Amino acid sequence: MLKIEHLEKSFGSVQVLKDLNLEIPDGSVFGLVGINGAGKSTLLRTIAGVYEPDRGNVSFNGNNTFRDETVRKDIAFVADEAYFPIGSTIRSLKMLYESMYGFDEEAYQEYLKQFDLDEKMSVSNLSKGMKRRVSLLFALSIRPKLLLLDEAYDGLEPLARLRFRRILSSLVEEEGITVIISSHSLRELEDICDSFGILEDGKILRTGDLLEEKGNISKYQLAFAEEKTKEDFKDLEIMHYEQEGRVYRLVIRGDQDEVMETIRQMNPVLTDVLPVSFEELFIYELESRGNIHE
Amino acid sequence: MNKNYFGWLLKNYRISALFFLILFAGISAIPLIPGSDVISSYSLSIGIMTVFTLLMTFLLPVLLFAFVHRRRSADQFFALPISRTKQLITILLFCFTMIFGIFALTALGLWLIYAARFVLFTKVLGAIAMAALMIAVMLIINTAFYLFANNVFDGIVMIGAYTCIPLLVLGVIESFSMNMVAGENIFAVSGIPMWFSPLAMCWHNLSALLSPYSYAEDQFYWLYAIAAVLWALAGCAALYWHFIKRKTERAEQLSDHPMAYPLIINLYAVMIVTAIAFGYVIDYAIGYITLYLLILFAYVAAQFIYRRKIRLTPKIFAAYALITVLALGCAYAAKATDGFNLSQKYTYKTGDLLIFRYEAAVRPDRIDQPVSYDSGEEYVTIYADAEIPVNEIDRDPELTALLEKLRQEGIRNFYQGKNDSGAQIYFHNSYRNESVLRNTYFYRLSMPASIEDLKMIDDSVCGTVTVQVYDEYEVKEYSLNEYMGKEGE
Repeated sequence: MLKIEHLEKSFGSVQVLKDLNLEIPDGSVFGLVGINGAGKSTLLRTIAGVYEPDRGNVSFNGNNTFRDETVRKDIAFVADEAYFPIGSTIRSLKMLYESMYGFDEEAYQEYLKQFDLDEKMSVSNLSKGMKRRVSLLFALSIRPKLLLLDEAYDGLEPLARLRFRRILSSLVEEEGITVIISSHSLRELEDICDSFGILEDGKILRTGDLLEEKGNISKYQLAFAEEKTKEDFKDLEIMHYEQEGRVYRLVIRGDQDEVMETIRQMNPVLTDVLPVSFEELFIYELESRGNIHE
Repeated sequence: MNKNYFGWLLKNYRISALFFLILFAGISAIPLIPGSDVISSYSLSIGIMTVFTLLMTFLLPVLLFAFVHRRRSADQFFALPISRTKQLITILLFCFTMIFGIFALTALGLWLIYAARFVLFTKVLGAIAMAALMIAVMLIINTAFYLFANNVFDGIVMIGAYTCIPLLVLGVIESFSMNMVAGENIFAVSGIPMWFSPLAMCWHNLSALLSPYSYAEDQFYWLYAIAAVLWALAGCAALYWHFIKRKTERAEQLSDHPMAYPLIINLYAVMIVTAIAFGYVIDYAIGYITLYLLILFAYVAAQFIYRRKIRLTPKIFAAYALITVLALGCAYAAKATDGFNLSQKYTYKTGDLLIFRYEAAVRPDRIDQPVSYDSGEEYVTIYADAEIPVNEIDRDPELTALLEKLRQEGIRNFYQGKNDSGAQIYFHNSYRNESVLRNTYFYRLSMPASIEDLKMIDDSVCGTVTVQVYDEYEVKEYSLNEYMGKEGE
């Protein structure tokens, strides 16, 4: 289990992470989302042991990820911009991972094929997407127990993304690894993540099971015979409110049956219920807290 | 140390290691050039090899610690399952192994093939052992300088800037000694900058141990070795803060740590401005104002290099003005106190022998009157020399009093800025077992010595006065009595 307690990190006078607390159980695929500058990369780097927390503690399976170097053998971190020394080939890079981690040669050979890579390839000459594949190749070949992907998913083309998703799914299912993915492509995260956390202004704004959370929030399109005001919906947890004449588009948090019961009592002439996507969930969550403008 | 990490470094840099080994082997082949003298060729090879060795102590930290300065590589290398302490030790040990291994192999090879007949094996072994210490010291110090910065370019600038500090110290000391201390005893203080330079101390000791010759001034100094180790300890403390406790997020940021540009820019400004201030308060020449403006320009340019943008804030000009005012204040204080009283520090009873010389170009008919070299007037040169054993100085108090009188006149002349008569006096002290002169002081007099004074020197047991007369064909030399007899009193 990954456990983050009272984590604080500042860059000079700017406090990026503020008393952040988070627990991610083993075998989770956790989508970390947030607007630019929310602190996603800082959080992932701190989990990976690259940054030293100013305060608080980050532990994986009970070991501090910054102080205890042995636990980092189980952590693979793929940064948003990967580093490859000039003139390096996949084979030369392999030496580092072989030396420092429990490298799985069989898995490496298998992933080489899956990602259409050749050991002799000079990494400097590869495209951004291919470089991303190289990073993922090594991240997977060390058989991590915790995989941290900082926008590493975004540069992949659809087919590679599909293959990677399958690999991840099998690793989670068979080996119970924990994955934290930070991405701007929330549609993609929705397909792969089972839980999520919204990071806002250095704090975890909301966290939970993705399906459960999505089931708890719905879009309602309503029409009434007479005009209503927002005040009329005060008994509901409205996350988004939009009115056009006597037609209302609302995003409401709460059990769908209970919400419908409340709405029915208001005698709507038309009721339509739609599910929300992860992206919408993110947007409405921020909107409901006044963090983005409509 | 982490064996796996060391193994990876070894594999990854094996081609570079091979390149350096071939390079060193090539240098060792120089004595093979037909017709060249073996000893001097061996000495040359050793010299070049030492230069390369020391250069590698600059180059390897720049290459191997570059990852710290790039955000992407810092992400990768600081996420490795290795503690920072082990990472630091492993990289330093790898650099050391590479440099020392190649050095030791080449030095032994050179000795075995060319110098076994005239250099003792124990001396070579001693040199190799000392080289190990010196390489370690230089690696630690250069790495520390490099890590004061937050990016590769600034890191290289820091290594260069810190390495050159002793030159500036020397400049300040020389300027102070020449402009502020009557007597200009540069030799007494010229060794001070050595202590600020681990590079110079290492170079001196390595050269001394590897040299096939044995000059007195090239001797190995244990104190330099100890001082270099103390520098290395300071370097270790710096590495603790700048690598083990380093904030990774500093990568690719401005090098704004107090030990980086903020210190270097101001330290350089202080030293240069102070060195110039000592000259200014003596000469008051207009050229100094131009120099101050040029340094201000350089100060602003350095701020640009530091901040990567032109930022002409009042703070920069205020800081420069403050430095200038403090430097001028220090210079005026030095002038007002006869160089912080250092001009009175000379003691005759130093070493075994006091050597005095008076020298003046004077009118042929009046040897107590000056001539100007530029005027084209005829002149003769008077030399008054005295060599007095230090333990016999008290036997001739009159002579000692005269020398002191001349010396005090020289000091007054120096600080009052009187006209230079062309007459000057030198004091040296020497030690029996040393060929070099020490404690050298030099004073200019506003007027040549009087005839009575010259006679007193000439009449003393230890002194002689000679007069040199130049004509078109030759230089004739007379004793004082001979000359006065010839010219008439």
